[in-house]
Amino acid sequence: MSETPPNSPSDDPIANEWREVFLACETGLRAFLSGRLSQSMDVEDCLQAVYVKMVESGRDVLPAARRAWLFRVAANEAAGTWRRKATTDRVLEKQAHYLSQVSEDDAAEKIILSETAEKLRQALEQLPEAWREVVRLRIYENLTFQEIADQLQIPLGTALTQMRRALQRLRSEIEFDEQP
Amino acid sequence: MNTEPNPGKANSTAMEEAVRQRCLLYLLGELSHEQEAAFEAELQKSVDLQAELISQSEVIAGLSTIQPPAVVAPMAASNWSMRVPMSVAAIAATVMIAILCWPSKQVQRSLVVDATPESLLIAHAWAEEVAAGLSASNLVGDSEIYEESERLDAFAGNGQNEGSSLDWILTAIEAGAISDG
Repeated sequence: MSETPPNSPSDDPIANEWREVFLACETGLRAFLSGRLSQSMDVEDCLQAVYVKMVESGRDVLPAARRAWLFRVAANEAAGTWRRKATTDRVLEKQAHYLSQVSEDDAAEKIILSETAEKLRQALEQLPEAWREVVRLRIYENLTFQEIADQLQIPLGTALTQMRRALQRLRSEIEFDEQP
Repeated sequence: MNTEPNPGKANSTAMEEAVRQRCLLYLLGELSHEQEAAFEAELQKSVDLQAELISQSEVIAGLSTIQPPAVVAPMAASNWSMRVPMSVAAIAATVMIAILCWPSKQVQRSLVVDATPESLLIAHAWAEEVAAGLSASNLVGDSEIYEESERLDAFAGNGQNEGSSLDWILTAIEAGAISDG
């Protein structure tokens, strides 16, 4: 693979930030992929694919959402690996269909992401004000929970609970909308 | 309907909440190194943990693709520094009102007690005496009485309230006017 290895810093500060995030959760990504894929080679391939996607299309992801984004991509890669394995031999498929499959997946993913984003935007507006403020400060301002608790002058546990419930509500709204 | 608490369900919910919280803190990079290592070790084995992690990842990554919500005005946010003094002030105001109202109630009570049958009897006697005098001598014209009655009714705010408790006062004033005249 021709991409920069994870342990080689570059002059691009965002790329360096991403590399740090990747290295910080590489063990977790590997553990997650190992739980989903039986062969260690598949795990390493997926991990590398995650890194490539991160370099190619992760630049606009907010700092607070980078780990989540990496795990989401890892889950998609693992699912893609299962799909490819189910249809053809892994090595042949990798050489013959990988690029076209990836581009098809990307197109479909963009549509899904666009629809999900709109649902999320609406669901976010419906959240209680206090919850929405915690989400805003954590995800968009990248404050830690302790900093949020200090700023809003609420207990740390309250900030955590509000964030957790907000995510739960957002998720349920999306899942509800996805029901046929 | 079964209203008995279900400890098993409560424990299950608490565990789910704990799992959600760990996933959230892990994804946002807020676990300590030790907690993170323990979480990652568990992640490989636990399908539930994997599912929860991906579920939260979807939402957090999705939030990254949309515009941030509007900033909440400081007063609208949960602000303990404002809430606590305001609560104290509200309690203090309630206590003040209670203290101030207490003596006035005492006064009201004493006034009611003072309005004994004796004073009422005097007023009634005065009114009867005046009324008897009016019917006997008929010194004042009906129009004058009517005008005085109008003024008092207007003052009392009940122009249509004939035979009210103010009638005896009206009669007493009329009587006073007669004697003065």
